[in-house]
Amino acid sequence: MKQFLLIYLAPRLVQYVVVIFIGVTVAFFAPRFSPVDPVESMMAKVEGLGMTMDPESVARMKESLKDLYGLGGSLPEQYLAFWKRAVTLDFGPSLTSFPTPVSALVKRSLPWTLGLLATALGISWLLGSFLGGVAGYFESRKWSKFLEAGAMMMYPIPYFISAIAMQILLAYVFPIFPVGGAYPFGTLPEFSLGFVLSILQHAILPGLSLVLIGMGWWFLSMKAMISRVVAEDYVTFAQAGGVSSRKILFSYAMRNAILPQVTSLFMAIGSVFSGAIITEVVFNYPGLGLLLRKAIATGDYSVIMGVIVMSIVAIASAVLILDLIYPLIDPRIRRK
Amino acid sequence: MDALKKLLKHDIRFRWAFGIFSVIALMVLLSFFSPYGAREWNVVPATQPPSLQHPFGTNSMGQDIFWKLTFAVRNSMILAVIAASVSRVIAIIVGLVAGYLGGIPDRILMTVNDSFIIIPILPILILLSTILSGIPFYYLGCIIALFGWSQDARLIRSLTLSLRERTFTHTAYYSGMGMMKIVLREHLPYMVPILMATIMSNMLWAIGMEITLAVIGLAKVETPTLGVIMYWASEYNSMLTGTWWWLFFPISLSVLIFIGLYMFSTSLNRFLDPRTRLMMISERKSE
Amino acid sequence: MNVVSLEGLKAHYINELYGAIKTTRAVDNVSLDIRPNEILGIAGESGCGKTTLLKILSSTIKPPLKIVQGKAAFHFDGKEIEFGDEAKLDEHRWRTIAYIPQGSMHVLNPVRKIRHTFHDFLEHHVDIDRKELDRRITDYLQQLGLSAKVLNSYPHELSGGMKQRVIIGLATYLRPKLILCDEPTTALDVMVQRNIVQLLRRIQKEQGNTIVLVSHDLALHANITDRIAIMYAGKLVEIASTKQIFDRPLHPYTRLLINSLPSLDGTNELTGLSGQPPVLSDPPPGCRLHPRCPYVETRCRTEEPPLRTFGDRTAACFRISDGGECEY
Repeated sequence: MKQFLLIYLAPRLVQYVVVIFIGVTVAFFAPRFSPVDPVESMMAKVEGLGMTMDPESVARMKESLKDLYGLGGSLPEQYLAFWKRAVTLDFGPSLTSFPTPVSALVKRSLPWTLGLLATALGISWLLGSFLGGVAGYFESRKWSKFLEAGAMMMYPIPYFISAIAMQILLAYVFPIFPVGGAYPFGTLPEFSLGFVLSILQHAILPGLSLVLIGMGWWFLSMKAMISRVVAEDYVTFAQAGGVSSRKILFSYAMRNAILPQVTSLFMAIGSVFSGAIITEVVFNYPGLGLLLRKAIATGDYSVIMGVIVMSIVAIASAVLILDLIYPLIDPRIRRK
Repeated sequence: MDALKKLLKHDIRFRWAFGIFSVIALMVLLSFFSPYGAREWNVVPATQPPSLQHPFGTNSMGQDIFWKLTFAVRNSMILAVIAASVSRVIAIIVGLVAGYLGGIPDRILMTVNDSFIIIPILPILILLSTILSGIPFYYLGCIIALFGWSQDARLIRSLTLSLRERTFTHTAYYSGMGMMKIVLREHLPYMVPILMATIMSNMLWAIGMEITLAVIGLAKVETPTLGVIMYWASEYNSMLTGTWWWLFFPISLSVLIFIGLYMFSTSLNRFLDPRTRLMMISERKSE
Repeated sequence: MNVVSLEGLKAHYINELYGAIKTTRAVDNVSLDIRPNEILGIAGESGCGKTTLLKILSSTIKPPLKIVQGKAAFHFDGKEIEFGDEAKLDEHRWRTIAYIPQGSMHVLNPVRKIRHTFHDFLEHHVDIDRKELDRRITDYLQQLGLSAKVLNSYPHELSGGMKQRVIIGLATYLRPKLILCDEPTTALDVMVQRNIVQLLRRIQKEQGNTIVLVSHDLALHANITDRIAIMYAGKLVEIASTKQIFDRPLHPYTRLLINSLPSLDGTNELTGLSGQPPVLSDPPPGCRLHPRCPYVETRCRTEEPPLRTFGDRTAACFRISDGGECEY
């Protein structure tokens, strides 16, 4: 057990800390390496929105922006102050929705993103891996090749393109699903069957566009994995032993191929999160992506920083939790 | 040349990729003969559906979409090549250093590397692009490259690890060849073909990133790229106003490019797969 | 009645790559009868086709391997089953024909407990409840020198020798008529090898199975087999009883193989075989051994020597007289 902690757990905890460290550090230094003065550029943006301000409030705003960027004091001081905010997840009030704190805005958007991301990732991983596994096992069949061609067409397409194509096809050309939003415009969230159904109805298109792209990848990687596993001795042995082919497919081939597939699921959360963000922008879905989009448009720097740091923390935590569950499905790690 | 002939004759994927690539190359070439400048407005009648004169129609800003797209494809491809080459340099350095030093430096580098895989890249790119708002596409290519090397650094590291243990490495080392020299002279040539395949997939990733960032309005909106064209189309609500061609053609073209690049990389991968190569070598021997 | 009969069997690996077709003639025109209750050894250098032959016998032929010619059949309970008759073969898999693969690390499913692997292999053949089955398996494994704990272990928790015992247990639990062993002792250390060989011999005595044993290790053959078939470059070159092979090898290749073994007193002069075995996608014309054979004649280079019978043994070489004497 002690060995397990040392060999398996310790590197993962270190990785967790390093991910957050790098993420926060990049977020801290990015504005500082830019040739543009971020305060001036933000001011220009705010003024560009048509707000007229008296010189005094301009100066005040500049001060508060400087404070937000952490531009007061020496660099190490700024860095420490930034960490303090990252650790306490306190990014001050939003500039445009003053005085709502950023954390409250993030808290409001996070469930939508999480719901969309987790469901889409789960469905695409399960379905893609399953289909890829079966198609890999029956490699020479026609339908297997057909599915592979489909996956090869889907996988390389970026999330944005798939989202907008879905929207055009199934919301404009064939208006089957709503164009955007998470629930009908003007209604208030309530706990009723009708409302839940309409939430589902609104989630289908964004979800579908994430699922289709994701499935392409999970299908292809599982299929490649299966064709490697099928050549392993234990599969040949089971075939010679007359073990039923259903059992060989599921308990031998798929069961072993799923292990690397799980590891790459952990690694993919970050990039699927990026996909979810852009999908939300396309569908006007009230998650972190839309919050970020609005913050960019209005130059709400504290919200941008808050969303970025909190999403890094959230994703690193998700990866850590999944890593801790992993030994349950791989006996080799459990017993080491 | 022989390899090209072989691939064209016997690999459907490669044939598709080759066809798509020819179209892309043709468009890039045509951009130099465009009758309209890349940034000119109101040079053709606005908002015309596709016709013989304007095969892809015109947009509400009075621009011909076909000719606009030729510039966009050129710029997007340049961006992709920049992003892929810069990120390859980073990946090679990180991968080689980690693979050769091994031990603690390797662990540190790989932990950093995996962090870059886990961290959601888009928000950070969004942050950078917000601050640098409206940077030219070639700078954008460099910035995208800074975040697109981690997967391939891992690949190069594992290649290095296996090459390091080969007999010829030991022979070279004990006959007095410096490690630096061995790496550059003996090992890099092994990696070049594999890097080729990763360049393709990295290019398609970079083009996708550019589109994503541009559509949120973070690119320099005056220079046409695939993303910028889509940005203007959505700014003018082209779907709501019924000017479908404004979005349809750039989207179809990008999808074509993505699929083409991906097929290129998979068919190259198969061609360069060590097992496939081994078969080709033994086949040559028996000929 | 022979358990297996092969007649002019040809099995090739056919690979197609970017338009070029490559054929590897791994088993080329092999005729062989396997008799009941014997331990038949198949010997030869690596890459001579012996493992492919065993793959065919165990009916685990997958592309690119293909049987291109010849007749091959099993004879069980007076019934003939041709190779490739999957439906009929499936009935006999494991109940009548068992297979012990190379003693490598990956023969047992790494994520499955030994107990479940046993259930997977036996469920079509035994009709008793799981508890009783587990009890019987435990009993049987104990006879093979394994503790009851093994049943609840994962493969990675067992040593190489224990794993090989588990595999032998799996293969022999149903008392199959025919057991096919592919290098059962490679990758094991010497002491464990000895134990495994003794175990196999004991089981064969008790159950009266026919064993086909493929190995490059002539010492192992000397130890356990009744009869040996020597393969070279996809062809059978000599078949004789183990005693005959070691006392008086007829084929030059057999003789060279035996001369490369040290004797117990270490007095004999060791001679090896020079050169490499031929590439099976492009074998030399005539007798396939001729580029390496010290006794080569002109016609060896162009004509292929047929397999000839000399009393109770066969060999394929021009330089053996009709009376079965070596003329070299």
